[in-house]
Amino acid sequence: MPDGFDATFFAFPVNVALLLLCGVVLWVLCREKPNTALVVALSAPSATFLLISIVAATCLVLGLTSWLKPASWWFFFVFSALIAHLAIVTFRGLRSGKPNRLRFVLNHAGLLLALVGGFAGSADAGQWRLRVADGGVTSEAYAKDGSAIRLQHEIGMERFDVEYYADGNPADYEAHLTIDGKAVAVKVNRPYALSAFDNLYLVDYEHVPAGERVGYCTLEIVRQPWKYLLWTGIVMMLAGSVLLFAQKASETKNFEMR
Amino acid sequence: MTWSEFIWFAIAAGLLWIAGAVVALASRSFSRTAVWLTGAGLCVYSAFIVALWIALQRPPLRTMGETRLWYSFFVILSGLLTYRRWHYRWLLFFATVISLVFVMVNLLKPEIHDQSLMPALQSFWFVPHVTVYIFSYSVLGCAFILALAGWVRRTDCYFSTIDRLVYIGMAFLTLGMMSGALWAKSAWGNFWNWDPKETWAAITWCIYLLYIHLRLYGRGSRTLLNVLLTLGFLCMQMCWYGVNYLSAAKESLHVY
Repeated sequence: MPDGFDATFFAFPVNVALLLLCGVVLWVLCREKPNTALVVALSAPSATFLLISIVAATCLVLGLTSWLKPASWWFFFVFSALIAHLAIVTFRGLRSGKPNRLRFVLNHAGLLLALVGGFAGSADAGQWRLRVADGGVTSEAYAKDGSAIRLQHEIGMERFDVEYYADGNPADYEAHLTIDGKAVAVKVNRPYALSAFDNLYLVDYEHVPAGERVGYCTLEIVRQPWKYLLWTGIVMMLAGSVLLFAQKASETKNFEMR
Repeated sequence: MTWSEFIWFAIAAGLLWIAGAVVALASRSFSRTAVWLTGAGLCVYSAFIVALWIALQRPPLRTMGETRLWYSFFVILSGLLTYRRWHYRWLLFFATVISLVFVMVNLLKPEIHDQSLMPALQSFWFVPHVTVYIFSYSVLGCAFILALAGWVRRTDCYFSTIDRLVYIGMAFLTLGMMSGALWAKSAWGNFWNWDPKETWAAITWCIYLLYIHLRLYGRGSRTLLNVLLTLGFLCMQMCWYGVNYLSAAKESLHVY
């Protein structure tokens, strides 16, 4: 399947405007016209079963073949439908007196925020790599397609420390950088926050025999303005999971085996 | 403590687990002796895990062999807790069989036990992420055993217990996935990368999510629910180690 999906079209402010528009329409429909065909269809349990099944099948195709890509129109439609469904179910759940309502809201609203943050936010996200030589300074980074951007910072490398196990494998490594003259240490799992939206990651370095000086390191700037929404959604789901464990399983409705 | 001593702990724990399973099977009602025997086996087994942890100077959670060590521990623990709560006398037997299969694999494949912990795994998230995942796998493994039993005996009587196990397993599966997302953000820059392991984790999660929603609304035949529990278990195995055999695994971020 051709990718055919250009996320940049939905970059800010288009994504925010579309989300607000869809959110308001769904909210008004839920409040004022809860019996319209669209609301009934989107909020029905069968829609839940169908959408979860489609997402599972989509992931299965993605897991077994290279035929489908996450950046495709199919993903766009499936996840748009899932987000709309989750939004309606969450709106309705907020207003109903469901047992275990807090658990319901944390899990559903959390997933909704995480999906919106990841899905709508992908249009504003970006990654650029830069290679910094030992003792050198650079302010230019490159995207995957090779296009260059001029950074608002000057990044230099003072030295690169590597510790080794007895078998010669690296045990720990750390890049000692200067960012606009300020000394900064970056290592794997410990990125540096360049700004509220941009983080700087250490992704690679020149592999040299123990004792030799590392000649360069490769850094990556990741821009993700919607990460705070994702964080909020994930933390809500973590709390929802704790309640899922701590509270009793929900009662089944009219359970009849066929 | 090294892996060369594992065999002695495995034999002692295995004999205690088998004795517990046989006593539980032979007893007409709930057996405290079975609980004590299985618990004693767990103590022996956990003594090895603790000693190995101290000797390695890192949590033994990195290699496939080490995750199998935890899985064989948690399957027995989950089986024991389920037996204690719901008194299914055959459950300890199946939990013991599954656990011993993974113990045997570790005994027959000793080359997988690497000592070093690479920098990418040196994170606050490493221990909670892996342990909650392995625990969820073991609880959902017990749900799978019950589903098979219900399927073979053509009865619906296990579904209320399966529900409870799936809720617990799903809670831990979600904790594992979300903690993994937070770790991925700090390690690689993105919360989700559609890496093969992540994709199979999403498939497994969706299958159990579908089971929960079908049960909530009283939908789905016995066959469909049992098929979902079986598929969920198989996808879980795929996510855990099966994914390593796919060609896409060469590009995976999760290859350690």
